[in-house]
Amino acid sequence: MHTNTRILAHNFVYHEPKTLDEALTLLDKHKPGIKILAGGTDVLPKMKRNHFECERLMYIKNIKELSFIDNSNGLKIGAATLLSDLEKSPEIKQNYHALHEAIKAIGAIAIRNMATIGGNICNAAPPADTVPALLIFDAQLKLVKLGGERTVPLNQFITGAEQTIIEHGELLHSIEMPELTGGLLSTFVKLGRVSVDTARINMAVAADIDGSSNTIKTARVALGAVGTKAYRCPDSEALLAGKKVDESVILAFADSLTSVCDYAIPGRYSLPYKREAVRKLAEDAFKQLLS
Amino acid sequence: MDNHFDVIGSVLPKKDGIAKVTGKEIYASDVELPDMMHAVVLRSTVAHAEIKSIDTSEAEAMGAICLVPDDVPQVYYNERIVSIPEKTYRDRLVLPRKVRHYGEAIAAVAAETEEEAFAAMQKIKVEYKELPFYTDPLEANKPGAAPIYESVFLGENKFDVVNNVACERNITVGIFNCCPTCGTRFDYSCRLDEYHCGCGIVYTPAEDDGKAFDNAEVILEKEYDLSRVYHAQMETKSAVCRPEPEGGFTLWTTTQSIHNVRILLGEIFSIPLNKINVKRVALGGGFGSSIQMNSITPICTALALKARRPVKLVSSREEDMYDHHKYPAKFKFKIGATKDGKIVAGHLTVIVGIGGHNVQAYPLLGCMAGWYASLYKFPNLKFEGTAVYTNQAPCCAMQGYGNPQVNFAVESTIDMLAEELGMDPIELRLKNYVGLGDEFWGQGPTVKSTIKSCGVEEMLERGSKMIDWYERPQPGSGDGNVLRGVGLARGFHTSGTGGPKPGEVIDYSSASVKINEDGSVDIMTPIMDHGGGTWDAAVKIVSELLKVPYEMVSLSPTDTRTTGYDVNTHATRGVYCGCGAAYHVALKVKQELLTVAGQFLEEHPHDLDLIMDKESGQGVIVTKGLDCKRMTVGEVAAKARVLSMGTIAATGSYRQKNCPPCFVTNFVEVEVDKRTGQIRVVKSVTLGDCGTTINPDMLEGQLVGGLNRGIGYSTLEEASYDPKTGKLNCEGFYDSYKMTTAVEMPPLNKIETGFASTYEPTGPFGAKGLGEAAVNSIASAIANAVYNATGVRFTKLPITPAEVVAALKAKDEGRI
Repeated sequence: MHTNTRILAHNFVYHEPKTLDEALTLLDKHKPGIKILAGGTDVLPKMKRNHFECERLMYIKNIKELSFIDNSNGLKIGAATLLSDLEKSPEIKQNYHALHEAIKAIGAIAIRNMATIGGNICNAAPPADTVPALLIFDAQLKLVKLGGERTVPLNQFITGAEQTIIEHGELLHSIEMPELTGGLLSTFVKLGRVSVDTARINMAVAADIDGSSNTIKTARVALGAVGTKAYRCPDSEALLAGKKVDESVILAFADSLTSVCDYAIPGRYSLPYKREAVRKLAEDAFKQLLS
Repeated sequence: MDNHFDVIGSVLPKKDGIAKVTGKEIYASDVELPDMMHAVVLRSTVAHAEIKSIDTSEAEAMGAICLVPDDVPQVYYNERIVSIPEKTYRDRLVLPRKVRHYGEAIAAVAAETEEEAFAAMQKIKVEYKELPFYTDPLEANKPGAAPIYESVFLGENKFDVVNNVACERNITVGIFNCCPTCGTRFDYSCRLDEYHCGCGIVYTPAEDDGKAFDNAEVILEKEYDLSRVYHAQMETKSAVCRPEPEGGFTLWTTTQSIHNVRILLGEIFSIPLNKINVKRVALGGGFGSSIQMNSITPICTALALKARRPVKLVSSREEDMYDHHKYPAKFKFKIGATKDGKIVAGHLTVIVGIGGHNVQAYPLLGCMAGWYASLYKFPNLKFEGTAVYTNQAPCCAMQGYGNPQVNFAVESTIDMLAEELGMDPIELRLKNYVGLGDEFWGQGPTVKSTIKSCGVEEMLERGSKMIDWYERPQPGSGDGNVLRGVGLARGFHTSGTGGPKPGEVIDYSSASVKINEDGSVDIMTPIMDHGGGTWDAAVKIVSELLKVPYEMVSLSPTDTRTTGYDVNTHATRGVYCGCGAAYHVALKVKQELLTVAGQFLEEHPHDLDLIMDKESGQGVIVTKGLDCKRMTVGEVAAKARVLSMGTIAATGSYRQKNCPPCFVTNFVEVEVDKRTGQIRVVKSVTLGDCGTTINPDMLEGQLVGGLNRGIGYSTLEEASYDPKTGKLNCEGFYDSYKMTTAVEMPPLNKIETGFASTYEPTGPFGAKGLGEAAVNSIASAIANAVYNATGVRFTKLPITPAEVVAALKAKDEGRI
C-alpha cells in the first residue's frame, strides 16, 4: 500500500503561474505530460488513490483572469471561479437558479471553498452536479491555447465518463450562457446516499410557465449520473411543453424519465433502482419550481 | 438512597473542555521530542501471500532505518490481554512473515522527516508468493480452502487450525444436549454425529433441538446478515517512543489501556516493566478500536529501539481503515414460544468472519451468547458460535462488542413472534425480559451477576407514551409514496466485566487520591476518557465524597509508573469500575481526613461530617448534628503540614463485582420513500438506565451519539471488500465510506432522551455505565419501524435504498 493521506506517492514538478499567458506557455511547452490542478477536490483524492499520475502539475487558482462572474450579457463565469463565490452571486441565484442549487448540492462548505466550476466540468464525472444545470442553460465553453481559442457547446465537450475533447495545451477559460428570455424558472434536484455525496441521480429542470393559464410554454430537462455523461432529455421536454401543471403531467414526466433510464442504462446493475428513484426527483423538481 | 447530591448529576464544565476547544490538548500525535525521527509503514498490496523477500538496501542507502520481520522479536502475542492467558489466542508477531490481509504492516521505515521516510519506503522491494484469499467466512471455512494459519497458540498450547476456524463456542442451558430419557448432558463440543447415552438411547444433535422445542406452540426460524463496519474514531492510531539512557523507553500512544500496552511491550521486547513508561495522553475517541495494543505501537517501539532515537509514527486514515473493523455476523435464530407468549427455547447459531488475526473472537462468542441469554429468559438455550479467519482487516470490539449484532437478530425475531402470536410487542417483551433479581451474563458464560437495578418496565411505559406507541399504523397499511412506521427495540450492555467470581476476564482498577495543602484534591487514575466524560465522572465522585467543590478537584497527568493497574477503559466500565476504584480510595481518604480533623477539633471522627461550602469554595468538616465546631478541608491540610503530620492521601486497587446491565429502550419513527428506498428517522425516543446520572449532559450526548451510529449501522455503513482484489471498496477513504452526519439525524426537537429513575446499589453513588448500550438496539428499532411502515422485513444490514425499492416493488406486485 503506497498511499498516505498526508504525502502524495508520486513526484511531479509543480507550477503556479500568475497570468493566463504564463499558463498557456507552460501548457504548450510541457504538453502532454502537464496536468491542471484547480480546487483539487477531485484530483487529490485520485492522486492519493494512485489513480492519477503526471509529470507536471499546474495550479491555476492564482490566475486572476480565470476567476470572474460577468452578468452583463447573459452569464460568463471564469473557469477557476470558486463554487462558493458562485453560490454567493445574487444574479445566479435569481436568474440561473438551477445552477445555484446545483452548486449548493456539491460537497460541504469546505469543498465549495476549494472547488472551481471549471474543475467540476473538466473532471467530467458522470454525477458532476453543475453539468445538468449548465446544460439546461445551453452553456458554451471557451477553450484557449497558446495563439488560439475555440468555443464548444458543453454537450459536445464531455464525451463520456471522465472523457472530454480538451486537447493537450488547451485550458478551459470560461463558461458562457446566453441571456434568458421570458420568465424561465429553473431548479436542480439530486439524490445521494447522504446529503454530502456524489449524486446517484441529479437533474436540472427549467420551465417557462404561463401564470394565468398555469401552462408550461417550454421546458428544459437534463439528467446526470444515469449513463456515462449528463444529457438533455428532449422527449421529456416535448412532453411537458404546452401542458397544464397538474398531478397527471408530473406523473407523465416521471414515466418519461423512467423510460430515459431504461434507454440509457439497459441491463445495468443500478437500473432497477434508478428507474424508480428518478420518479421522486420528477416530483421534487416540480415542487421546487412551483414553490 | 441519597439523591441530595452537591455535584453528582450537575452539568459542569468538562475538565478537559478548554484544552480541547482551543486545540491545546495533547494527543499522541502532538508529542514532539528533540532529535525525533518520523516513521511510515510499508503495507501489503496483496491480501494473502508468503513474503519471499524484502530488500531494504536502497532505502537504507538513503539513510533510513528499516524494520523488517527479521528485526523484531519472534514472540507470538495477542494484542488484547483482557482475558486470562489460558483463554487468549496468540497468532501474531510485530511484523509477520506471511501477509494475511491487504494493508497489513510488513515493514517500517524511520527517517529525519515523514517525507524522507516515505520516499525511502517506496524503494523497498517485496517479493510475494501469492495465495488464494477469502473475503467471505463461508468460503474460507470450506474444506480445502487455503489455510490462513497452519497453527496458532491458545495459552501456552499450540494447535492446528482446521478449515480456517479460529475458535468455536457452544453453550447450552436447559434440556439441550441432554438425553431425553435420563437427562445426562452430552459433551457437545466433541461434535459427534451421534450421541450414545448409558441408558441406551442414541440420537443426533438435530433431534435434540426437537426436545427443547417440544412445548413450543409457535416456532420461528430466521436468518440475519450484519455487515462489517469501520470504527471511524476521530483520532487515527499514533505512537511516539523514546528510548531512555538507562535502558527501556517512554511511550506516548493511542490506547484505552496504558497498563496493558506496557505489559505487552515488556513481554515482546523482554524488558522489565519498571523500565517502560506508557504516558496517558488524551484519546480522540476509540469505539473499542484501542482496547488492544494498536498494531503500530510495537512497530514504533521496535524502530526507536533499533534507531536509538525517539521515533514518531502516525497512521493515516486509510491505514487506519485497513487496521480494524467491527465483527460482521451471520445468524440463524430459532425461537419457540407458547401461545400465551412465554418463550420456551432459543437456538442461535452465528458465524463470524474475523479477518486476518484473532484479536478476541473467543470472548466475543462468549459475550454474544451472554447478550442473547440476558435479553430474554430462555429456559432452554443453545448457542453455537464459529469464528473464521478471513483475509480482511482484523475485527475487534466496537461499541457493543457483539451486542448490536445479537440484538438485531433477537429483537427482530421477537417483533415477528409478537405478530405471529397476535400480541403487542411491548407485552411480549414484558412477559419474558431478564430483569430485577435475574441472572445476568455480563461477559459471557463465566461472568454472571444478579441484577439489582432495572428500569426496563419504566422505560417501556414512558417511551410508549412519548412516541404514541398505541397509535402506530398497522404494518404496511400506509399508502402513497412515503410510508410512515414506528418501531421499538430494547437492549442493554454490561457495566464492566467483573462478576462475583473472577471468570475468564480480568477486571480491576486503581486510583490514588490526595488532599493538597490548600484543601484542593488531586486524583491519579489510569483510566482513559473516550470523550464520554469518564474523567469528569471521577472528579465528580471524589468531589461529592470529600465535599470538596468540583473546581478544587483535578486529575493529575499520569502514566504507568505513577498509577496502579487498570485493565482497560472498555466494556462500559469507566464509571462503574474505574471511577468505582476512585470512589473506594476516596472513602479511605475521607476516613483519614476525619481522623486528622478529629485531632484538631478534639472530636471523635465518627462525630464529624463533611459538607460542601460553595461560597468559600471549600469542603468543611463539621460536628454531626450540631454545627458548633468547623474547619475547612484546607485548614486541616494546612495545619497538618505545619505540624509535619503528613499528607492526607490513599492509594488502592479495587474490583467491582456485579457488572450490572445498563438498559436502553429505543422507539423510532421512520419514513420510507418507496421510490428512492431512503429510510429517514424522523423521531427518536431513547431512554437509558444508567442508575444515578453523574454527567447528565454527557449521558444525553452518549445516547444521541449512539443513535447516530445506529442509523449509520442500519442504513449506510459497510466496510465491504472487493472479492476480486481483496481491497476495501472504499480504499480507506471517507468520500466512499458514507456515515450519518448531523443532516441525516432527526430534527433536534424530535430527538428525545430520558433516564430511568434507578439506583445501582453496587455502583459509585448508585451509578452504572451507559456508553455501549446507547447503540445496541438502535438498528433493531429502525428495522422494526421499517417493517411497521412497509410490511416488509429486512434481515440484512445495512438496509440499502436499492434493496428497499426492489423489496417494495416485489411486495406491490405480489411476489412476496
